Amino acid sequence: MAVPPEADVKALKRRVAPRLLAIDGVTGLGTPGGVLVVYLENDSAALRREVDAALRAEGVPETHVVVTGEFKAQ
Amino acid sequence: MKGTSRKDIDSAVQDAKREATTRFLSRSEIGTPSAYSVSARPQQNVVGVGLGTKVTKGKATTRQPCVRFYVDRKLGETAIPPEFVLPSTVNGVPTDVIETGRFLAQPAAVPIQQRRHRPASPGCSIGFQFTGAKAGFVMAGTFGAVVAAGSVRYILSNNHVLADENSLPIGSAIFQPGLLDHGKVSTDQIARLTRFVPLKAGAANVVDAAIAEVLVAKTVRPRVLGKVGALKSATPIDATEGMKVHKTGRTTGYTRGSIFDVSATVKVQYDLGTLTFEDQVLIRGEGGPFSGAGDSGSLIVDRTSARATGLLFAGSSRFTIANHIGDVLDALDVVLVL
Repeated sequence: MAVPPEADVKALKRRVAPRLLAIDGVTGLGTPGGVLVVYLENDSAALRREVDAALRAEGVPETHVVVTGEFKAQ
Repeated sequence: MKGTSRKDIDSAVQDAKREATTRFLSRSEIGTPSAYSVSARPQQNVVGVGLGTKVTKGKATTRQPCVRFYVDRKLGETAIPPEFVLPSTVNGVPTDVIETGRFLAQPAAVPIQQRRHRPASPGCSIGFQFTGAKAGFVMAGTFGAVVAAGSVRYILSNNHVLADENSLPIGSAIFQPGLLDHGKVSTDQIARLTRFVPLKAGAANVVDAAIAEVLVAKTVRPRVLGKVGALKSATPIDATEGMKVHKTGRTTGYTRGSIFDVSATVKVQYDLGTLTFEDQVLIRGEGGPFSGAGDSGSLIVDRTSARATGLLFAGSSRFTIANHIGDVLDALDVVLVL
């Protein structure tokens, strides 16, 4: 699969951010390597299902996830 | 009490120890501020209660038995509200306070970045004094960089390290080291809070940043502690994926890492609540965590060019988050000083 232009990925990230960030356990979104990545607090199956459903609702067929743990001010 | 066993100890002294244990060794449910801190509240600072003779400067000064409070941190009385000072007697038995730290790990020496430095350098401990409901806590973060607007020099760090998340008044005292690292209110103020970018709970944030005007110019110098050293240029370098970076911070000292993402949108836990930050830099440590609690404010520097690229403010067990340093300097209208 061809990597979409950077501007397209950033636009996609902006579009899906409100729905994805509203999910408890999603810690963020990013575009490393020019692909959309969803950052997760943990690797639970329930959280992944919820993220997949939200992405399908936004018309995003697939994405990458990275488990980051919870982010806190240090 | 030398040579005595437990069964030889007077029952009144044993009763006083039981009383002290009940009153001061229980844990209370009090939230911890997001700035790195420990509580001076006895119920959170006392880690043990015992019996022995009073010890001053490492030597027993009397044979009279006393109740000993073992504490996480023995704090100067000026850093503690009067109601949190441990009693001098319990049931008429004198007391002694001995700092032991938490009974988990005992560092062999105080790391250099947590000591008092004059001149103070980026990478060392810094902080404010909590007021109001959080007056029982002491904290420390990291001095990030020396910056300037015209001829005035400032210390750059985070809003939550210098301004307690929007809550301190302009002009508040900034100490080096932070009071958590035994900074003294009476002698260790080096700057006063000048300006901060307000943290917003209902909208996206871009930076967690603040500056404090240095009281006496010669008490700070711009060279970063340890292997990070001096910047080669006052002009920042844009963060790029894969960039090899390093930092010196108050807690984890010198660490290396590489940039994983340069435009992340992240949710971060603060006392104010869960705040959203856009366009952030994610960093992964090399051979271990890149940062820990108390490292906030550290300057992130590109290892190849020795130019600044980020201002550390948050993290998890696996990643560190930094603002783009260009966004920080623009928001505060300052420049880096070499």
